[in-house]
Amino acid sequence: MRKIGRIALFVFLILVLLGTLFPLIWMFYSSLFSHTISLASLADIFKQKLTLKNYAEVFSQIPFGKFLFNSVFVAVVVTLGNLFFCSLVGYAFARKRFPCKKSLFVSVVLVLMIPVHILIIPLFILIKFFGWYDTYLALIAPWLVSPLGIFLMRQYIEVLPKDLEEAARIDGAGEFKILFRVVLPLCKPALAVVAIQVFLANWNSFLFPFILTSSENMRTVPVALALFQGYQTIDWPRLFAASGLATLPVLILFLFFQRQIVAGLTTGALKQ
Amino acid sequence: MTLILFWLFPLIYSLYLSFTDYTVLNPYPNFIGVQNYLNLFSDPDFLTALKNTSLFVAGTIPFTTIIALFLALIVNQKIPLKDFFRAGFFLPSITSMVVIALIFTNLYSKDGYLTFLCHLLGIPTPEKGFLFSTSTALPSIMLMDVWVSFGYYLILYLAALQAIPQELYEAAEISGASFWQKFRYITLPYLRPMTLLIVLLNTIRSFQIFIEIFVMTKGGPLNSTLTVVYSVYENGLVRFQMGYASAMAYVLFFIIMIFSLLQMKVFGLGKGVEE
Amino acid sequence: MPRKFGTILAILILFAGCSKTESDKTVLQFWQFWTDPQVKPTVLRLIQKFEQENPEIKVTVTDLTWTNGHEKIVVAFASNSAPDVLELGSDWAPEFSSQNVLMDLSPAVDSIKNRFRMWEPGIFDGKIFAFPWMLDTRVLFYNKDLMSQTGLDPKHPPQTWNELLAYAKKINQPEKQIYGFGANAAERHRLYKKFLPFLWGNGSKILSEDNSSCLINSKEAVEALNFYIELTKFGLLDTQRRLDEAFMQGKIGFVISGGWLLKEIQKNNSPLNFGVVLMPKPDKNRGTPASFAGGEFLVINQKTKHPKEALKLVRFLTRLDNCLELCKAIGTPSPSDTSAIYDEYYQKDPYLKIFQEQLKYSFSPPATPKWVYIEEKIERAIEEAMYDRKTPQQALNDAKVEIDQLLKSP
Repeated sequence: MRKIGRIALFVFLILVLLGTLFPLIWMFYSSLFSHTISLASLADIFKQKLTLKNYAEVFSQIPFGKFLFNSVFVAVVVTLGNLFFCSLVGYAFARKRFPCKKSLFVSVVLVLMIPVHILIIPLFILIKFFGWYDTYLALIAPWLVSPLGIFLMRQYIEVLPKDLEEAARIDGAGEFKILFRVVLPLCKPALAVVAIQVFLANWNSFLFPFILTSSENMRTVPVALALFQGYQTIDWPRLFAASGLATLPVLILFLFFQRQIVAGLTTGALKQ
Repeated sequence: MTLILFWLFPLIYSLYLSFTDYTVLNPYPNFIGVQNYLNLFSDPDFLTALKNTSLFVAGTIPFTTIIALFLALIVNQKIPLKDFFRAGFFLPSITSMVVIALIFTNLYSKDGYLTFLCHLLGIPTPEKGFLFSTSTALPSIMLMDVWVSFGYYLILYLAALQAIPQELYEAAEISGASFWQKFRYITLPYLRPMTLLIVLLNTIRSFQIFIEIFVMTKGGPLNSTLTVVYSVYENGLVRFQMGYASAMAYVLFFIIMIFSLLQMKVFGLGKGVEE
Repeated sequence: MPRKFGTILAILILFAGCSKTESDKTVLQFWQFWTDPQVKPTVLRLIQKFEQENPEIKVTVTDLTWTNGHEKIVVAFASNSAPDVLELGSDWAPEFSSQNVLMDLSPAVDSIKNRFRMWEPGIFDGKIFAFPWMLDTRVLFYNKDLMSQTGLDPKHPPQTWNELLAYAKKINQPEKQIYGFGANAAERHRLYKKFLPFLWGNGSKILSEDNSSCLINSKEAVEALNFYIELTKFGLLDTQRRLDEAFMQGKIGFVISGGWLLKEIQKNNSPLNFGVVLMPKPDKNRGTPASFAGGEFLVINQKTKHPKEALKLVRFLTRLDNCLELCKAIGTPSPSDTSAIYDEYYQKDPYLKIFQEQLKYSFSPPATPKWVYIEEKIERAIEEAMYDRKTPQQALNDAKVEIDQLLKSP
């Protein structure tokens, strides 16, 4: 009886997964076609000759490798930066006293809720002012600390018991040492959430990289993907090939780290 | 702390703009007080956008959360290939949103697979295609949104599930608790902080839905998919009325804020997420 | 921690150093949209040629995308960092021309004006702000196989509204996923382009000569809308992109589309048996086969530090030989230079010949700073009629009242 239940569950999962992945399978399958026209009816789909040429072309016609590197580099630096700065700021908000603390924290949270479109122009002016336009700095610096990250870290640190910190302070540990040796190891779950959130947001970020850079050297993958769309037409097979390739590094990263992510989220054990 | 500059300066600048008649290409805005805000509430398009956005939020978050929780419970069991399932469910959230929206435009079209499938199953389909009937356009985009986002929340739930001490379940089993009882009295309470976090993240994200609308319908047909952020974009960057658009953004922002605070209150978690 | 700060500082210094270019040449920034791997090399080759002809100038090319280029341009102008020369689509030329951010080209082009076509979208307040570069238009594409399968003679594609309607009716078999006419559904910023040709063809106009009042509820305009709504009932309603795809898959009898579709069909070696023909006229001896004129324009930033050099680049790119080279790489557009018509590239190709002919009957919307709003009102009216909220007459009446109000307000 139990066994049948298991099998039913398994079949059910497979079905749900198929439903989930259908569009993506379709995407992958179409990326093997040579022509756009292959998005035709179901019947035609099996008559197509399959080829890997689109993947080769993505690399030969545009410096896609460079774009991938840019995306990975930016996303990794930004994620690391967030882990560092958000813990710092979050810790300060949770534990320190300073003037206007409350209103400052509120304003941080508020930023979370503002649509980015109205922030584009002021931010652009700022980047220009610093002379960072079309450099990695424009892609990295504004995002090194995210309001969401600060919010999450602050909320998490605030409810941690203070005893350990006090003990460390009595032992003569400096603030940085307390934060990195005592507090952060307890914050792994929050850090993991921040890392996933920031990494994904950055990996898929389009509008700002597009507006803040101009040369091919600084192009990231989402911007490159947008260039596969012409005025009225879409280069489907190559768009699909490129977006498949763009997904791959994250997927590998996920498969590689998923146990750590899931475990990391919990080693701190939620304090109830 | 200096890095907050990048957030605070644009924020304050745009707040100031929301009280002016700033048009993007005119460098000398006039201060017009709350006129933009007054205009907003007599603008039928903005009210439609507010309504649609609220519908979108109310119609996606419960489903996303429940599906994520349900599937997380299943893939948390000892089943074969569970890593494979987890990765599979996560895949949509790491694929480019623009590409996904483009794929779904084709899926939903009148000659697309979804219509085809509905025909096979004998389900009636809208005459003008899913995205071009006023009654189905928004639900179609909502469905897609649930599809894209549940995997991400599933992973968050999985993490929370790992944290539940196994001894509790063992103890419950010894005292003869049913599956449902274990779920009700052990799993759910432990998942509460994570649920709040998920709902909060999702609320903030859903209120700002834009790319899907931009790629798929641009607010049509007859404004049935017009959302606030899409209006902000149209007014600010297409029609250059940045002052007006900023006012819109601030109204949205107040709504999100009230919602988030309300959620925290309702869940009785005014102080900390993980409390 | 100091290590991380060090890294960031290093990156900072590194890129601060990189951003400077040392050269005593005049550097021109040029933003353009041709990113297709088949076209981009031609653009770069032309730029190279320009730099050889003008050794004192260096041109930096930046790629824009069609879907988001507008934002980038707006942000650049708003923050005083727009490039010296940029390409604008015909939709955007009037918009930016009326915003006092572009250089007035009138003094420079007055003498050569007659050699080029399509100045209208770039004219505002009697001054010329945009130089027409490449022109494109929309024609009627028809599927020959679908015509003959339903007993129609593919040698006689529809020439009048009634023929088009009758043929579309005949071909339309939605249960078999075969559709008569490919109609644009509620697609913002595109829908009006599909309706206006019928309005123009029927002898109507959107605004009066002096842009002071709206004429959109004229008898001819209502007729046009009635016809368009009728037509959409016998076909597939979707976005332009989807319609083009469905046409390529042989699912649609007739679709109004532009050069991009022709190019796409050829690029994919599609076995599709199709033809192109001028837009249908209201009747055999009435009206014109009007169409929507599209194209690319070159404009110069009002604040450019090198107006002379920028103008040189514009003149170079619009020069017949250069422009022709680019048009051939792209496929279907034709140079704004009037003498391009006689080039054998356009005369020999049966499809391009039709496009050239259609260009003679192609119009663009009136250049007014309020166009974005007027466009929205017109699209709203079409949608209201299409979704049975109002009758075409009613919808256009309401649109007229609203547009008149818009025109009166400062």
